[in-house]
Amino acid sequence: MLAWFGLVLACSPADSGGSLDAAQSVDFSREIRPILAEHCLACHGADPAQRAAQLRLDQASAVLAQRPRGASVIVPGNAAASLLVQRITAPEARRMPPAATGPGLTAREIELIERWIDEGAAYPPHWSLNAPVRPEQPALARTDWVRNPIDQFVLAALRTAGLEPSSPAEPGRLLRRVALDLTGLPPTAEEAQAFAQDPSDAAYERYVDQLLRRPAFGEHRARYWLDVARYADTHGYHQDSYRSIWPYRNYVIDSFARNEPFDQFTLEQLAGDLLPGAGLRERVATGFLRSAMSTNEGGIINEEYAAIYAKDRVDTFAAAWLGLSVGCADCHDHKFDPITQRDFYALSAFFRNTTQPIRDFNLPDAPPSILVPPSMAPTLVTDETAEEPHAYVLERGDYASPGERVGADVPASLPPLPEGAPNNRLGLAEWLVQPEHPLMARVVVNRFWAEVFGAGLVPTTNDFGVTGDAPTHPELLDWLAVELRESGWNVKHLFRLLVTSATYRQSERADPARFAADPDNHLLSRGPRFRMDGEMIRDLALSASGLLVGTVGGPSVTPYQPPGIWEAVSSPDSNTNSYVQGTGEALYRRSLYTFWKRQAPPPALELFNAPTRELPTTQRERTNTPLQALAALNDVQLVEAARVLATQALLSSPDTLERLDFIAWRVLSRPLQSEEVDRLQQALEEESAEYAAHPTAADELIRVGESAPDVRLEAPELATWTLLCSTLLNLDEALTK
Amino acid sequence: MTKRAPRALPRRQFLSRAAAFGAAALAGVTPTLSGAQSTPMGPRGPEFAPRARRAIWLAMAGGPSQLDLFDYKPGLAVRFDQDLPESVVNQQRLTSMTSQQGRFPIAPSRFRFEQGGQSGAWVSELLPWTRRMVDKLTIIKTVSTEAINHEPAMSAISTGSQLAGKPALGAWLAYALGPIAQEMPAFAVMMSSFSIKTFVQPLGSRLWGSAFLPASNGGVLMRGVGDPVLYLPNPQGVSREARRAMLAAVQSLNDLASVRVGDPSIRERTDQYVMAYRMQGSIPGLTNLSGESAASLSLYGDDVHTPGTFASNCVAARRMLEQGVRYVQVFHRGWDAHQTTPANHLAQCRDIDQACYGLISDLEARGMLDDTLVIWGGEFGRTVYCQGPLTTEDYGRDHHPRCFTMWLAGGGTRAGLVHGETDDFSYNVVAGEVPLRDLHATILHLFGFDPNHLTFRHAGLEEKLVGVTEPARVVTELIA
Repeated sequence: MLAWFGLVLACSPADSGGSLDAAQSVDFSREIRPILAEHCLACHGADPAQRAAQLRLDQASAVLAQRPRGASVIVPGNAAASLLVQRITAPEARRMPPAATGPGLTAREIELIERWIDEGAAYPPHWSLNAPVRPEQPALARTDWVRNPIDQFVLAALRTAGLEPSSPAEPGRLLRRVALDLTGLPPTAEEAQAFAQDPSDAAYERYVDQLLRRPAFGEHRARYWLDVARYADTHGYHQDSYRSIWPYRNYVIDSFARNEPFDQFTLEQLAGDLLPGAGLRERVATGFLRSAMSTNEGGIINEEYAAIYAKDRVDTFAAAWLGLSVGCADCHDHKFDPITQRDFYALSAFFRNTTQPIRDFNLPDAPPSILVPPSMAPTLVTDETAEEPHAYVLERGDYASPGERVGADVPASLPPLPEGAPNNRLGLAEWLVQPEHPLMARVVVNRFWAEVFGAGLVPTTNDFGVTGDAPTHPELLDWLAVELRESGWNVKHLFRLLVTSATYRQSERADPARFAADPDNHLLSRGPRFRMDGEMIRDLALSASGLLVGTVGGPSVTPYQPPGIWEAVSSPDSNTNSYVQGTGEALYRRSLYTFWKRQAPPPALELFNAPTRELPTTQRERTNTPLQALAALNDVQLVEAARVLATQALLSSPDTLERLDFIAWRVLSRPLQSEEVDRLQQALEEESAEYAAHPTAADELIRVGESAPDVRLEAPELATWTLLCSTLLNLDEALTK
Repeated sequence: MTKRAPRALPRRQFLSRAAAFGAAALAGVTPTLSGAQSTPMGPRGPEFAPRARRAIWLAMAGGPSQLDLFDYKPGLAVRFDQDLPESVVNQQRLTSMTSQQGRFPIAPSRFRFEQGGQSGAWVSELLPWTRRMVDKLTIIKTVSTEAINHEPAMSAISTGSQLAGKPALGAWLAYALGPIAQEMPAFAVMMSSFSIKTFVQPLGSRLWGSAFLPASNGGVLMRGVGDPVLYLPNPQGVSREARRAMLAAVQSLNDLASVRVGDPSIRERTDQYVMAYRMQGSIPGLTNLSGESAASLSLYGDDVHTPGTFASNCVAARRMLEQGVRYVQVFHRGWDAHQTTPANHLAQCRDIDQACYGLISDLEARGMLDDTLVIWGGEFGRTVYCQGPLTTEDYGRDHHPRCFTMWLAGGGTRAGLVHGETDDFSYNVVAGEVPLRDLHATILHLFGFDPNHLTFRHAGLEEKLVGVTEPARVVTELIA
């Protein structure tokens, strides 16, 4: 720890960017616009209320115009004559940005701006606001590595950086990776062993097709979407009581499993109730809009919460399909992106004429809701009033200060609603899925990419705006976006492309030089390798042990949870103030069926960065903490899974080596190496001695969990092997895909 | 990643590793409890010499009545059951629980007030122990919030924003300063048992969440009853020695993988397992009070012997600070006295009064009060007008955001000060208003930060605790 502080303090911003490469011209979008956004646009941006000196730097025309006294802010080709450069390099009293507003420009940033102006001050519009067109694939000398067009783009970028791709992944690694990516579950031992026998391309592609056909594909994709949709089983605000909306989760799982085109999936969730001939399925889909938090607090003022609900819907809509942070514009025009306050409220109008009451009494079937056969369980849906959609611009975002009345409309800087589209949620959804839309396909495809590769081609998956990250592979992003759209929004086709690419099939291994050259794997110089989400870690243990109950869909379940968690935070009048653990199969379902209480989400999942589902989450964080280690070591769920896996191993063979391999194939999808076997045998000896000396302890350990220990086995032996299985389940390799 | 790393920190810096489960048994462990991201970032440290290094926030959830505790209004006695003048309310918004009431009759406090200490601060008979220590407190009678209901008000006082999605004060401090001792969490949260179970307000984990800050900065819920940290103990039948042997195998196999794969994150994972093992040794002592002297325990009152009480949690909070936790938030719920405010506050004050006194005295005796900031208060106050039936002995009070009382102690605050004046009805601020953002700014200042400089880049904004819409002021009058 000592070194940590010292190093941090020693590192100044100027060091972190490295020196400028004189041979390369400055890229406005990647290098200049972020500087303007960070340091200048708060006072010289799109928001007229905040604009100083009547100067805006967010538009080429304004930047090039002459100032009142004849000078120009920017003189293309002449940095020294440009007011901008004069002011950012002026003595402190006149220097921009003013010292009071925060840290100023670094020497490197100033140099970049000077070079950009000297090179002609090109000021193209922000990349994400132009509709993607399918780019040409780069011509390459060596093409034998390339399996599909993804690889062309990746290889070109690698070569530009002076790198070559990694070798192909070992078959066992690849099989485990693809099974986890497509279904969230590891391959069975039989599948892994069969692929080890025949690791041909044909066998791999057959397996990919199998995985895509499994219901588990739908479950796994649904889990990511449910983070975006902020799906949960409670109302969220205040009382946080139970709501019945799991049929919407079923709908999401089913949509991915049956490969519903993503444009249709979008239309149904935003406007299923308005679709011609809307049936049960379409109505259930509108649970997307109802997955928002709602309140039953006694003293609320309706107008205040109406504004809060509308903002949530706009934010969620924008996160899911636009990748823009429009939420800032509820108080003022967006400082960086071309979203005005009026745009925000015009968007909110689409969501303001529904029949949902503001105070919903936290009922399980808070209206509007419908009964879903065959269980006749209620599910929350969306209905529209006959009222023309409209909203008021709220001054400073204050519900009590309504200003101008606005009709429903899309942001002015994006294409208009399609000709003839209705001026309601259906029209909004049709607007999203039209081919001219610059954002939706890119945003969606980028999230799918991130699910597989660990980070998006635009790393800020929720921000395609000016302050978001630029795409690492802009042409690849556009190619994939067009491919998704032109394939008829075929999600399985897209995933098949991703996982059959040579890029995906690279080995995850790398030497230190390669890690140093591409530490975050933004260049895709090796295969994706990162810690799994909590759901996958739990599901892997259940699957490896054979405990997993594969039933698809249905109401949420309440598996093991440490006592006192709901009780500590809940209101006594909430009907989720005390956790009642389920029994039997309910303990062993896939994790996406675990009951999600917003005020206290499933604790082990939360430790692994699961969100609360109060707000949309487009990508989870991926931290590494000791609390995660404690959960993986001590959670009853995983200890029991270790014991059941140990039981299977002991019953499979009397031979220690065969038993070890039995476990390794199930947890790691590979046989053990001899050094690993040696080390594990040593651990077995130590633990075996421990349990021989303490048979009561052995008896205690094998009784963890609701399932009964197998009476055919001796307690000390089973306990020893339980710890051995827990050892494997806690390896970095087991927790990592 | 949807989150952005702050500027001025190294993009990537791998922890060196000196951890082992073998003979060198855990010497020189490098990882932090807060954990490493794939791009680990160290805390940045204060900008200027801090007055406070650590803090305890005693959070009275539900909203204690300033009128019955600190804000003495003897003139109200003659106005019993008179209508509150409209000029006082002045069209300010009321919660919809009382906005439909036919009239707003004044309910004077039925409790006796006395002055305490050299400062002569008025404190009611409900808080006799607090009255004894007023010379160590900075009492602020003029805190104000914009929220009028619990959900947004708790969010505003905890995170600076009425809406969900912003980091808690503790998360900001964790982010900026890290823990004091690396094997401890920077930010711990405790829930206390409480007496009055009508109108109890829930407390969601967003109140101590990290929001857009790196997740490792979120509060760790330390429980006064049961395991202090979730999943801390080994399963039954796994001894510490068995765990050590098992983890040694995990480490060996991870090391082999590290050589094979080359990914530095594998060693970082092992480091966190080492830390987990160490925490299993160090954390139980935090909430186990058996080593405390009888003399020091007696300061906190009899409740201290019951695990999970506010008194017991105050001792645990002090122990956590001693062991290197930066910031502890102790919640005590049940203050939402819409009905029978006197009975509610009699019981609720008994839960906390002596424990507050014990905590301040104990910190002082141990020489910790100088650099430990203690903050006491609710998310808003309560109305002078009665909600429901009114007698001289009994009344209810609705939420009141325009002025309420909090106190600070230690950590560079001005002891013995009573700050701010409210009007004759404890309804509006007359002088010295301290809006929440100014309170937050002052706290950050005491920790050595300009509140406008402690920022984190998120979704295109330089986010900060004090918000971006209105300027925040450090209330220098509160600082010694």
